[in-house]
Amino acid sequence: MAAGSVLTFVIVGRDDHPIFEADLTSKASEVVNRDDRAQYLHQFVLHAALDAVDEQIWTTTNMHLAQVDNFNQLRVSAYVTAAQMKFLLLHDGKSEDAIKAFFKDVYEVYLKVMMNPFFTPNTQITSPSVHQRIRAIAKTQLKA
Amino acid sequence: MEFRTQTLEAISPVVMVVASPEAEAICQSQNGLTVTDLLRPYGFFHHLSVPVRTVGEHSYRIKELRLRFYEASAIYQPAPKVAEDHLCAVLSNAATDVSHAPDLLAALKKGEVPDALPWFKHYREEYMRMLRFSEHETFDHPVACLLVLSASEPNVVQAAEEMFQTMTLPPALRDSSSQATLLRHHVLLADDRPQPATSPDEKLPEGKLAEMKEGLGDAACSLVRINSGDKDKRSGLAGLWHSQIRSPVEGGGAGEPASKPAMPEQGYGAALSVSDVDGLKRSLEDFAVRALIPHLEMRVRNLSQQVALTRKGFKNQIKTLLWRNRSATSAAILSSATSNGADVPATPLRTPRATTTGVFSGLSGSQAQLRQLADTAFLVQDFQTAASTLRTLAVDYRSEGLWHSYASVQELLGLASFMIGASMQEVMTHFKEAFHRFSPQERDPSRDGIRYATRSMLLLAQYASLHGQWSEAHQGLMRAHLQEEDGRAAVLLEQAALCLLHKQPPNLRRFSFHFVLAGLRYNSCNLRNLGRHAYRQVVWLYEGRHWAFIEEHLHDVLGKQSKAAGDLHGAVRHFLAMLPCPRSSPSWQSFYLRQFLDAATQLAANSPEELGPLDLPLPAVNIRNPQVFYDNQTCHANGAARAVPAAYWRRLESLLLPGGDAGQNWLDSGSKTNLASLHNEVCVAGEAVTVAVQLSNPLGIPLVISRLSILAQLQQPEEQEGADGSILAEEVEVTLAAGEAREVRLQLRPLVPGTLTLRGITWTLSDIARGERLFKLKAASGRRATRDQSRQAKLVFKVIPSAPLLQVELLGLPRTVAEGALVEGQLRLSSRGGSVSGIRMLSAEPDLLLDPSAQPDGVHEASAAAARDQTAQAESTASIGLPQANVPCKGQAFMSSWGPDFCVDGQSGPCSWPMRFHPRQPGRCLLHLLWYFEPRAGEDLRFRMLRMVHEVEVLPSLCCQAQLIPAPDDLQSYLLRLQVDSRQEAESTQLEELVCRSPGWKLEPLASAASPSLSDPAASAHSPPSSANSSTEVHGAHSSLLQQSPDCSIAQLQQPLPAKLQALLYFRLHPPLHPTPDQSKPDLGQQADAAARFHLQGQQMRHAKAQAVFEKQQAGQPKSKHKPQQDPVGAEQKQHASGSTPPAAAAAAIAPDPSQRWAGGAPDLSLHWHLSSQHLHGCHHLYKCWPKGEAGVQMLLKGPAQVQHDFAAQPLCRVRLQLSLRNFLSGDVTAEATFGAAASDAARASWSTPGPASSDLPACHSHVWSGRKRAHIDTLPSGAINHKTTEVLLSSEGMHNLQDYQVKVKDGLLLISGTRGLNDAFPDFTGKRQQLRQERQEFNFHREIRLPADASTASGHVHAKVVEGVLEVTVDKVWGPQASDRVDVQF
Repeated sequence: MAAGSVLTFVIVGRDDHPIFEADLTSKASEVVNRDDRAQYLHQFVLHAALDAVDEQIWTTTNMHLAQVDNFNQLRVSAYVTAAQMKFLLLHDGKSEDAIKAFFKDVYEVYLKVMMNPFFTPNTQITSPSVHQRIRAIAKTQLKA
Repeated sequence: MEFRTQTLEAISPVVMVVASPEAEAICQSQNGLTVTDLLRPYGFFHHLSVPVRTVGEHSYRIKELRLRFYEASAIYQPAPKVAEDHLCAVLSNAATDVSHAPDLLAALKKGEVPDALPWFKHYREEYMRMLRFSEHETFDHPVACLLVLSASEPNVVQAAEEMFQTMTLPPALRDSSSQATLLRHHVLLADDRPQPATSPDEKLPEGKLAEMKEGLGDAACSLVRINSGDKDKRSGLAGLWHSQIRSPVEGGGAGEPASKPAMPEQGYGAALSVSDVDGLKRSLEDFAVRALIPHLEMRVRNLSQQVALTRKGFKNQIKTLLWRNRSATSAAILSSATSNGADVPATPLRTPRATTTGVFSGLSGSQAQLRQLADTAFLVQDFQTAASTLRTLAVDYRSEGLWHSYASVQELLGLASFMIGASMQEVMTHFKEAFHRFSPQERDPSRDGIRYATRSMLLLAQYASLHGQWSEAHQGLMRAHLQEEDGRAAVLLEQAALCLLHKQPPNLRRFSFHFVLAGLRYNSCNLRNLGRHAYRQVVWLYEGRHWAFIEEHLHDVLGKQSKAAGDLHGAVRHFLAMLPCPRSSPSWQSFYLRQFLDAATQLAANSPEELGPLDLPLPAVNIRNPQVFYDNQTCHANGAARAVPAAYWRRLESLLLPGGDAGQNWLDSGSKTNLASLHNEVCVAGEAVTVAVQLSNPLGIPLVISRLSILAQLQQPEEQEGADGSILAEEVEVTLAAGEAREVRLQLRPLVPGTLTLRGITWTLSDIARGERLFKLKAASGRRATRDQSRQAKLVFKVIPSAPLLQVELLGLPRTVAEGALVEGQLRLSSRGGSVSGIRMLSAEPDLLLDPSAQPDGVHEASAAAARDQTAQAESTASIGLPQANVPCKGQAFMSSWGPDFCVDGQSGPCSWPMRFHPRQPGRCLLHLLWYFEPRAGEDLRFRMLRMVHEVEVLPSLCCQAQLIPAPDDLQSYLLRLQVDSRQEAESTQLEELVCRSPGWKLEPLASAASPSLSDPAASAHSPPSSANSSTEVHGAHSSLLQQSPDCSIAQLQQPLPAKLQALLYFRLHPPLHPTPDQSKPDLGQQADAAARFHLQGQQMRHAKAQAVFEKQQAGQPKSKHKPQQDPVGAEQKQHASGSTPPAAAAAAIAPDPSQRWAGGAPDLSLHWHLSSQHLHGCHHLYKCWPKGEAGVQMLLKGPAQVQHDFAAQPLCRVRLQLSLRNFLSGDVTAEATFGAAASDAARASWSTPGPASSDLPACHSHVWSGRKRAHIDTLPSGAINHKTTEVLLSSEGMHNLQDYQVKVKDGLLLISGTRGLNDAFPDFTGKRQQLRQERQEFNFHREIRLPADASTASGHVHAKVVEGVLEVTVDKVWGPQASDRVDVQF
């Protein structure tokens, strides 16, 4: 993947609380370079896209909403579960088919997380294994 | 305002005003207004009904009309840079004070979202103004010229002509053709102020007006009188001009001159009266109705005719086509010339008159006529004509590729379409097309059209928003902002964001993002106040949503801007919000902390009163669950006592309190109220209340927290209010490492009675910022709500007056001690705050021994004497008042009492008693002590309880195992094999003595063989005991029987036992011959040593436990459900008292023995030892040493081992033998002894044993039994011994092996049979140690065998079965060098 590409995945729970965040680009590391303004810009774009998601939920019966919003070159694709958990992917022009497959695989992972009886829609998902699996899915489906 | 009104206001006829200096002076000196400003409010005429017929057959009526008045010198568009500077100044002025801006959060809550921010409206108006008077739009060109002269002018007609000839024309009218179309009108301005002196020659204004009408035409002249009002009195008309007066652009232009007179103190128009205003209004209306509208009507007709002449007909169409081609060619030439830097001719081609970009069309030619026709028709409100003309023009421009002109036409066409009632979609399409064509294209990168493109989108947004199309408005503004510079883009973003708030439902998240973007744009162009305003409006939306980067960015920007603006309080608040940033790197966390502390330091230096306690997020405090510890009637001596479950203490307390014996459930807890009263939220003045709070550091850097204390409030009773220092709060300093979580215990002491409320905690971060957090206990709903309310109430205490408190110290109690050690210490009792009496102590463990009856050390003489007297009196009356030590009571507890009248005085110093500690189990030993005492002062507390827990780690020292076996040479005594394993790591243990504490028992060492043998237990684990012992023998020690007493028998050892080695000790035990008194209640005197008392204690506990188990078994009840982990008392009960016997075996061993082997029960032993390095004595107790296995009927054939006989003198040697049988069974048995050939050969063979290896005599079998060959014992009672005497006749010398005898025992179902050779007789234990081992081997071999009659069992080495009542034993596996050497039979 080209340097400087954008691929941020967020699961947003109830009351707009992000319960999972991952930078799925290959350059992403644990230590975040805070000088990079893109970090908070990405969050702004993803957060703003929630309004578009709310609008588009009513236009289709599919869980995959495709691209819902964009800002400059940043695009936001969304996937909404039956429990109104929103999967948002910030990218810079990935194929919709690949994104759809990515969301589908992530949904499988999410279902397993949800089976935890202590999981609530606002519970932060901090499991490293979930992180690794979603990263692996991104690598497979999105060639990240 | 409706869009129609706004459109009519924006596109209305422009009247150029040319005023003489005298006229300006008349107006400005009194009113502060220029002539143009004076006219502007009265350029709006409504209630008109002017019929107009332009190009069509039908006329229409103009009902309202607006006129725009501009000075002639200001009718031009300022340069783009000047315009931009002016617009930046507009924003800068708005940024100076943003306090009047609405709070959008509040507005949103009220549902009153504003349509626009205040500065947007003004900015939009100014922006539109800066774009007026463009060359390609003729609706801003003047259609009339208003010449204003002073009435004091002597020759007004001449002056008017001169003025008209010399006036400065705007750029758009410098063409002579345009000038010719200008309508000319004259206004004579008369000053109505009282004139000081007028010359008689001077005419009145009316005369001059007549003169002017005569010279210039009747309709083109009018008279306006002003200044008739009183300047000192406010006319109330000043408000009319405030909205009309615009700030001038630098250098003039955009309809305003370069400078304007300042507003006078009295306000604008102070000298105008109502009659003046009415006259002015009438004059202007006459001008509009009589002159301007007919003029415009005529102009439209003329233009229409010209267009028709030039556009209609085949000839004209051909011309137009040719002209178009030429025009396009010219435009291309011009465009290329401009781009190549070539000189552009000063006078361009007449047709078309192109601009420098070559994209705008000029104002001549047929297209210019069309444009003029459209604009004029729009001005005269003939929108149909305007729209149709514009459509025609649009087609022309489009075909020629003049995109900016085309875009301008589309923009006006959008407005015209709206005015003629076209659909919204059509109107917006025109505006979007205009935006698209104005925007810079790839092939035309110039940015000239951006301003007009933005204007198109502003018009679209205004149109859409006024018609409820907020999404369209938002999209238009967002498209416009992308290509604009920062300031304007920020304004457009804000307006676009507001459009999102008007949507249903409001798009709050996108709104906030747009505001953040606007804030960024404002900050980029140094409009910090506006940027800060934009950020502030949206902070609330992100707070608490866990979008960490967003919150961090917002607070970072806001904090820095606040600090730069001097708002330190705001800076501290925002920097504070940035502190909890666990996802940031430690360097950033450190930077944020330093940033916050710097701001806080500055704020504290500037205004300390503003830096109050902050809601610091560092460290994280668990305010939901603070643990409060306090003492009232129940006190705790240490923290370990609080850690013990309260139920355990209550169980102990129920043993001390009268009537406190709570039942197992709520049904049978009769005195529940008494116990409950102990645990109310009551604390005692002067005593500490401890709050345990969980602190954690979420950051990756250490946090220094100082002055950490409890925030509390003590409300005193009314009569005591006003006392200071009523709370003493302890301050703690804590340093939390990165990521550390810690529980901190904070203390405070209420010093006076009252109501104490614990509010929260307060601390200082890095010695700079003071923070506090208030407790907020976890709230719950439903059934748990009541419980949580009670938890909240636990932060409120009733403080009662101080009461005396007993203080207990256990001196000399080590933290680590060896198992079985006897530690001597001191119990020290003292009192604080008064005297206490009635002291009782309840211990749940038997390991601690107190002696309250001893004379205390250091006790006050008077109280000691009183105690002695009272003790003497108590002895004479009742024993209950006596001091008692370790009296067993219910619940496996031991109580010590100091007597009811013993008193510990707080002033006389502490009293000490000896104390002994004897841990009997390795591991963690918890001493639970519960003290009961009665304060002698204070009415609130009749008694108090002191809970105390001491923890001692008990290390393993020795492991003792005793094995008791019947002595083979003596049917009375037993052999004791004591195996002592040292578990010390490095130190040698001195084994001092072995004490048999069972009365009547005699302990006797096995002569010299009693010296212990040492071995390594690890090496001997898998080897036979005897051979291993023989190979690892270290040394022996002399042992002798030193003391024999009726109560105990002692064997001195004085044997060192090195670390990790094993010692084997052998003793002979003689059971008592007569029954001894019951041992369950022995009477030990006060002088008995501590070891004996601990031994007795253990004995009693075992007895009680065995009794309880027996009773349970009898009652058929299930076992206790108490788990040992949950109940220390239960756990103690489960632990076996003996150091070597496992619990199950102990329970079985102490069960009543049905055989009643010994009248006094099994013997108890104590092994005393000494650790020289630690000066520590200790002992291990062995209770109820039963023989291993069951003894049946034991037999012994005794006779001389060696007989000397002279066979020459007497051929036969008569040897007398005695056969003894003892019945160890519980019932009577019948026995039969057979000697000689009657004995079974098989039996004889199986019991054959080789003789002593040292014998040098030949084996010989020539012996004959004499006398009766069969002896029958009818009844051998249980425990009885029967002796039978027989003789054997020997006829030759040698080693005679007497194996042909047999004893059969029958006891109902069991038949035990065995034979034994003569030389099997157990020899005396006087030989060497080698012999001892041999005897032990034989001893092992000849153990009694007892098997059920109906079973056949097999062991590892021996097969045994009962055949026809006779036991047959077959040895199939042997151990040793020879098959017959040794057989180890184990059952």
